[in-house]
Amino acid sequence: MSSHAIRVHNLYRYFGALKAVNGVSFEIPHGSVCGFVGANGAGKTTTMRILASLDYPTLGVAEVCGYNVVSHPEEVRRLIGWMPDHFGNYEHMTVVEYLDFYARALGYKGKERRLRVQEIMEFTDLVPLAERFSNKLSKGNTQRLGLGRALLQDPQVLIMDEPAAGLDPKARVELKSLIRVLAQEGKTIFISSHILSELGEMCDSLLFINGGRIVHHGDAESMKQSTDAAGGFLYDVQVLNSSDALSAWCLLHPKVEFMESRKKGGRIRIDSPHLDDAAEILQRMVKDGLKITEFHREERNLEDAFIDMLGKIERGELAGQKPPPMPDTSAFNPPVS
Amino acid sequence: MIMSDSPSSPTAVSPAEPSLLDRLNDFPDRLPTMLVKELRQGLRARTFVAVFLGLQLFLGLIMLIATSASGLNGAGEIVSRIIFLFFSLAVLFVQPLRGINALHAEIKSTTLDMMLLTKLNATRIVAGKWSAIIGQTMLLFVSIIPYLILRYFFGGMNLFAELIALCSIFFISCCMTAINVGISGNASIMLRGLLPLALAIGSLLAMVVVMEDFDEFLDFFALDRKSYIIVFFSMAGAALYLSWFIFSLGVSTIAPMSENHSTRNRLLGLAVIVISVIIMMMNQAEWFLIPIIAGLLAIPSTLIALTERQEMLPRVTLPFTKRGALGRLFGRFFYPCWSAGILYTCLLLAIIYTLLLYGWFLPKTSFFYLGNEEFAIINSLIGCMLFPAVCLLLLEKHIVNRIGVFIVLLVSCFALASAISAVAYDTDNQPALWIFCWLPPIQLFMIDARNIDEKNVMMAGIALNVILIVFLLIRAFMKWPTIRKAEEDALLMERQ
Repeated sequence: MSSHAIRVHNLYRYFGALKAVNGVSFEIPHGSVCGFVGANGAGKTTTMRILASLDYPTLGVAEVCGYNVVSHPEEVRRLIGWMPDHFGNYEHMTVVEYLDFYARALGYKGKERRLRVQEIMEFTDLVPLAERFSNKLSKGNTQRLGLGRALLQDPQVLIMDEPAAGLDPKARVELKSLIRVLAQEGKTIFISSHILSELGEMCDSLLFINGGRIVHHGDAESMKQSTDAAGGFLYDVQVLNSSDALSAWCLLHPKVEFMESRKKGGRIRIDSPHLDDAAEILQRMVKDGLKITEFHREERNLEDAFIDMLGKIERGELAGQKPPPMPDTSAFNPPVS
Repeated sequence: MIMSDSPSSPTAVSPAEPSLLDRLNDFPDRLPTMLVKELRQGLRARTFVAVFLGLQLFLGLIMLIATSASGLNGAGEIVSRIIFLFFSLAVLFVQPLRGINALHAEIKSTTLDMMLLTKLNATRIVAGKWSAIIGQTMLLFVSIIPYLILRYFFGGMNLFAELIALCSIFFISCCMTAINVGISGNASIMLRGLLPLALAIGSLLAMVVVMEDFDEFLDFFALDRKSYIIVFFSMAGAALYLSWFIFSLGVSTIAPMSENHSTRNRLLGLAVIVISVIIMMMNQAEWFLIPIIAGLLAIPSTLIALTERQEMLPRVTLPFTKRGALGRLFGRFFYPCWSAGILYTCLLLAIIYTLLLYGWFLPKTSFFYLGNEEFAIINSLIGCMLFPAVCLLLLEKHIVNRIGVFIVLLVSCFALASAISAVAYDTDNQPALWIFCWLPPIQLFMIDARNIDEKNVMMAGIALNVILIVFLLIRAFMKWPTIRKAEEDALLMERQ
């Protein structure tokens, strides 16, 4: 068995002049949940489709549980569950028939097939909707049906492309709960989403992709704890004075920036990563007559971190993974190794 | 509910009573998965229900009227005609048109990806779509049998001829459905809409003609003459051949790159041509017919071969590379890419030109002699296939739907040639057609033109075709490094 559930090495996918995936490399260990983050058109779906053996790399290697997606697509297909961002459902076909169709297509027969469909329907809570037409379901129920379909063959690796897109908060919570259960079962889950805060809660690691290149791979906590683009931290300061007093004080201190006014005080940014500097500034505030009731560092959310990261890339401060030089692709023959 | 206290994944769920799923036994496991899916959907579709009930209602009514007027002479024949008319309307018009969107709907709703991740492959998917419609057509066919039995009692029935005719209509419906399902995967709405519609309208018009000469129609299906039998089986074979290729086109359209459907089809095309030529030669068919029929038989396989994509996965070349140098040489003609398609086309052209030149060099007194006119016509028709292929390669980078563009180019060439010739003939300036002789269909109009020697047209046509073939071959050879790389990767894969 391969040491990694997913291994991608120097993966390229060009569509004519468009470099959808441009030298991406990463590894995801067995049993972990990895979030895949990036703006629209960053290359998430293309990478995921290649991993699902639905597309072919222009160059590079993509493996699932040690199987190359190009040379051994049948083996890869037996190991994965694929849930695309959007999928159509069939007319004149009920939910239970939909799952039965895929169960038949996966080779389940007789009683085993019927029991498998029932298990999946119970797990995804689709039993009450069994006789409803699959194309008449709400978005949330459609996603549950899609997840159910992806789980039919009990995959080792679940690849989910934007499963929470378009879901209302309740459906999102339900989906998150399902994913958590699957993660507890030890399945490897590779999931892309725009809702970064949710990914942060669910994922063991996060992969940030931009312009077809991986720009960060790490856990959510390290991203939240890291400094912003300019190397500073945000602080929530509550005062008994008016927030104008705090704002005026900040204007006199070059290392401190008043970011926004709040009900009792405001949000400031200290241009230093060191806690000593923060403590010194707090001392000065007290000394200058500000009646501080609360002073604490704000944990950045992942959206902020991601936007900072994009800003750094735009300014050329963060290059991400340097892709190796791309060989001539005029002779497109996806490689085997 | 999923938010319950201890949710667990489906691997851990203990199975509950299967009462809810009892009805999933409606179709046995041995039936193909796609057929089950399509039947479940199709039998609920309003079109089928409406056609089925409509047919029963009309036929029931007609039988009632005919029974009450059974004393009238010829009531039996009238009933036969009505049965044929309504049955034809249902199975030649409505049923095949139900396949018009079969594959496109799957492509559009992105459900194909999910199906291809299962054990279903492209052939099973397309065959399932086709067989479900045919299954319903079969239901219609079976449902008219009671009316045929009733009609028997009216007398004057040629049972054998009427049964053969009904079976033939059912067979044509199967072929038309295969064509419509096959073409339904094409991205061009013009192509997947117009062809089925033209077929449906054509079959309706044919039925109107048949109704006028119903006796002759039934005489033919009595198959009591050798010539009738030959025509019957030739037409059936041609329909089967054409529908197979368009069906395969649908399979290739949705198949992942790792599946190779081209080699089998090209071999089939080659075998059918060779066998047909041998049969025609053995039966001493008129010589000019042999290259024409060979050319017509070559159209489906070459059309697909010339319009395939060039990209090829190493694993597709593996069955060839495993057989050494001979396998690789074979692959140069049969790999699923347009550069191999060009070599395959040249192989077929070599057969056709050998037949043409053999007939042309024979003495005029010979039975097999082929004149300049026949040579020029066939040569021009060959050029009509080569010209769009060259245009396609010139526009290569801007084209996605290659077969759609090829057909548009082909039709446009004929339309342009017709327009130019009409002007030339109207102005009595036929020699001006020489200016446009680079457009192959123009040569067809030049053959009958005043002041133009057909031998010159023939020579110009040959020169043009040689240029087109050389261009195509150069472009094909330019792609050989790509093929070689795929072969090397395949060998590497084999070693691993």
